[in-house]
Amino acid sequence: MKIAVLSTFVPFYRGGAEILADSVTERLMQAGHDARQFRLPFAWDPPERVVESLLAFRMLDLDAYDRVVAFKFPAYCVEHHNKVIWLFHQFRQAYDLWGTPYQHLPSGDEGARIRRSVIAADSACLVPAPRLYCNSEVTAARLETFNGRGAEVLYAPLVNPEVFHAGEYGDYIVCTSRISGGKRQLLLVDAMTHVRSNVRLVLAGMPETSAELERLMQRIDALGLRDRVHVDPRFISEEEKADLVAHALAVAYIPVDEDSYGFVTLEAYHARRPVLTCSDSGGVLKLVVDGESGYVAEPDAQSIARGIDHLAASRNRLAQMGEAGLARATALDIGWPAVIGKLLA
Amino acid sequence: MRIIVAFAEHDGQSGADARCAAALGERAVAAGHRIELVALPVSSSKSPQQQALAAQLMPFDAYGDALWALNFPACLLRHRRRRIWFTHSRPFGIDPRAPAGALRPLLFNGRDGDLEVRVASDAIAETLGLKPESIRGLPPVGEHVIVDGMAMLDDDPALLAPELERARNDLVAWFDARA
Amino acid sequence: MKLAWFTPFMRQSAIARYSKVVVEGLAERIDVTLMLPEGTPGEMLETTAVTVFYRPGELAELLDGFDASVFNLGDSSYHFAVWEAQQCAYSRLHPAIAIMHDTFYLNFFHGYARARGDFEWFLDELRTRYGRTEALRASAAVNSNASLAALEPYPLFEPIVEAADAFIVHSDYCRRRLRLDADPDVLQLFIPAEYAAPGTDTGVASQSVGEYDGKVVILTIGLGNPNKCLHLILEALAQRPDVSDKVMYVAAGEIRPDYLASLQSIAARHGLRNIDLRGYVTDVELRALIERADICVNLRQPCPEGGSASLLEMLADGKPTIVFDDGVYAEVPDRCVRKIAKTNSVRGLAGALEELVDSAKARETMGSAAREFATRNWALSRYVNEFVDFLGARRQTWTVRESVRAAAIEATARATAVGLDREPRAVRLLTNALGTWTL
Repeated sequence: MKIAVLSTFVPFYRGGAEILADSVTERLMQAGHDARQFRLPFAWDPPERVVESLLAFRMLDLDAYDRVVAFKFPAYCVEHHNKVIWLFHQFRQAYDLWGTPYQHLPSGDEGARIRRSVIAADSACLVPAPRLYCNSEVTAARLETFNGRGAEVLYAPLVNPEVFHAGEYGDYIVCTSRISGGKRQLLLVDAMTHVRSNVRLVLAGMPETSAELERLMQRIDALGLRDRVHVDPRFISEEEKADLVAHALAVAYIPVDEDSYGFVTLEAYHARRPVLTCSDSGGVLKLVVDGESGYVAEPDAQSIARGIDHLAASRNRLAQMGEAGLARATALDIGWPAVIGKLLA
Repeated sequence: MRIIVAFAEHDGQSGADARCAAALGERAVAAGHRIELVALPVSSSKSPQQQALAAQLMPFDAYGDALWALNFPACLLRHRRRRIWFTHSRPFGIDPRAPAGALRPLLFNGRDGDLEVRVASDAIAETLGLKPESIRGLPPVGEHVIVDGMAMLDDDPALLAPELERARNDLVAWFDARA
Repeated sequence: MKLAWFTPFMRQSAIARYSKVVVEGLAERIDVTLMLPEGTPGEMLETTAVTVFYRPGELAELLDGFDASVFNLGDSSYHFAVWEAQQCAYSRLHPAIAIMHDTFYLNFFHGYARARGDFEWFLDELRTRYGRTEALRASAAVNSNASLAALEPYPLFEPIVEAADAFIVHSDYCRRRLRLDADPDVLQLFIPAEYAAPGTDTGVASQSVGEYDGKVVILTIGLGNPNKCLHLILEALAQRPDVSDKVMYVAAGEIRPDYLASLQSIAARHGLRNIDLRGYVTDVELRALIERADICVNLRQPCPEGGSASLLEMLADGKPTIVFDDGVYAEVPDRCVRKIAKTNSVRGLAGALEELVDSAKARETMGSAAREFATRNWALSRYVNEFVDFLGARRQTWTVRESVRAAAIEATARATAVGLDREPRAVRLLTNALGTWTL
């Protein structure tokens, strides 16, 4: 089959969704199909560009392809007779972010009109789509709430799960997500002031902004934690990440209300590491079960510190917890065979 | 510089435009630039106007420092700093729905931003209406169009390789000089 | 090339007769179809042309089967359906060629607005073209049946011109009046001379004109109204009693009742006897009258016509004809017609009539020159060939427009499917993007 994998992208930026789209294309080709990826921009600033981008995708011609796979708004609005949508993102500004400071659409008639256009497009393209999957329960719940359409959840696997391997359990907790307010590395740093065990914290990842990094480093200095918290603020290659995770005591991943379990969680389990998370981390709790595959703390420094100490004292159970996490992921069919199977069905 | 290199992919087939774009991209990376290769899916069963429509609407002008476009319809992508290279004149001159001269007002409309055009041969320039005197009544192209005399790139890989090598050295150097 | 031809086609219309001749001529070179609205009242001309009787609701789809359409527009209610068909073509970007038989359309659009009950559009057009103040003047004037001279500043041809891609005009005068001088999409031709009023059984017809024997017959033809200046002929004859004794003046064609009364009054006042205000005549009778005529008079004041079919008929029949030195008439060579100035017209007309009535040779010479000119310049074959060549040259433009139209239709369908047809910005974006393609 000739398959077009259609993504939106921001030129010169590469995030998880972009990496996943690349992987989908590659996996489809490995499955023997002629798959090509088309990445075209979606601009929403200024907001009038939302309609322009939507129109542009609507005008695309993919007739030469037997199937189209699309992930995000407005790419899934492309016209094609045989489309499968694996929904990563709707345009949330028109839905759960509408009426909040993160709305990003102008108040008044203009914003309302753009919002109506987005909802109308989703009603026309998402709601009746015969093959529609969501990447998480959170995405599916939003789709149900705002668009009245239910959809099966198709979990996103790691791009290269085989890279992650299990090593000795070392003396550090590692967090490999990008450094940003939403990922709460600051809270981890605060927790370290309460940790009693002889455990270090390693934070490795690209800072979202230089201001975020500045804030983090200032906090570390202010708390006198230079010798216990190590920061590597850069893009970390898969191999470097795999190595860091392979020798960690555990992986910490405490984002606020995440849509999905996160690749960080899966990477940890593929490396047989338990995961430390928080009760308000959203989709992460799909995989992390307190006491079974990790530790679920309350979102405050003391509780997180107790979690770190607990894991440090549970060395005999770390592998078991890591295995339990991987088994849970397997049971949920998180893997490329499931993804390719659904996208080709 | 961050450069978007755009080309068309016709009817699901990767052709000379894709190879040419990849070659340009490699050379530009070697020269220290960051590149995004962008393929526009195009169906030759559609009229040139339909082929162009998505390109005309795409918001590329929000991104990157420059846009290099190969041929039609990539040449219609909007950007404040465009470098366009025509290595062939398709569909103009072949498709009766794409008449000579139709492209020029679209390329030079309002003369927005920084635009330079290279055309591989006189014949291509003629078909595209990019010769200064070829189309009556349209604004002159002036110094914005250069016919570089480079032989037209063919789909034959054997012919393509040496020409691409020349393109890597000559054309990208030309783009670099105008960065 | 598949061409659709829209025209009035009832017997009493000169444009219908023109269309019959041209369409039958074109049919020898291209695929042309006569398009007539179903249920048109009145007796139609007979023709060998392929004819389709269409329902207005089906027209849009029918147009898709043609490469282009021709619309014959003239200043009469006979052309209402043609105008509607042209609008349908315009809305679908279907290539439209307008044949401009007149240069003045204010009365036409006023009548159309009245017939369709849509004065809003009419007033809007006046305001757009002439400004609010002038629009009020124009509207008041046309409502009060003001003379053509008073209405002349408001010709209102613009809606027709703007809804056409190419034009056929039959005189330089018409081209200038419609401001198409610099437009390359205009074909200027003389009306073909080959068309003649049907009914050539002159044996039968001649019996109806027998009582003119021994007189020099002066003939006017067409609907009688002040614009045709029939009253000037009576005034001129009154100035020359010696001429008036030798002639029989025949006015063939229905005369407006108030104008008829006025003419009868003039005739009575001057004691003119050799006057036959004949009124309506059949085609057979008209043909016979034209053949019998020694002199024709074809005065128009003002001259809004784009081309004169009646003049054409007179010259093609080798008749010496008196005209004003104005409008389309001024473009005919001096040797072929007798031109008089618009000022002091009665005196000028009287002089011209005297010259021609008193000299059979002068009539013969002018008549021969007229026939030779008409035959050479107004041959149907020339008309058809130039018409077809013109269409061929325009065809590539229409191919492009067709692809723009197809792209617009497809783009609209795609946008509509996601509700963007109601989003003004989306409509603007698409219109702008596709608009840049129109040559």
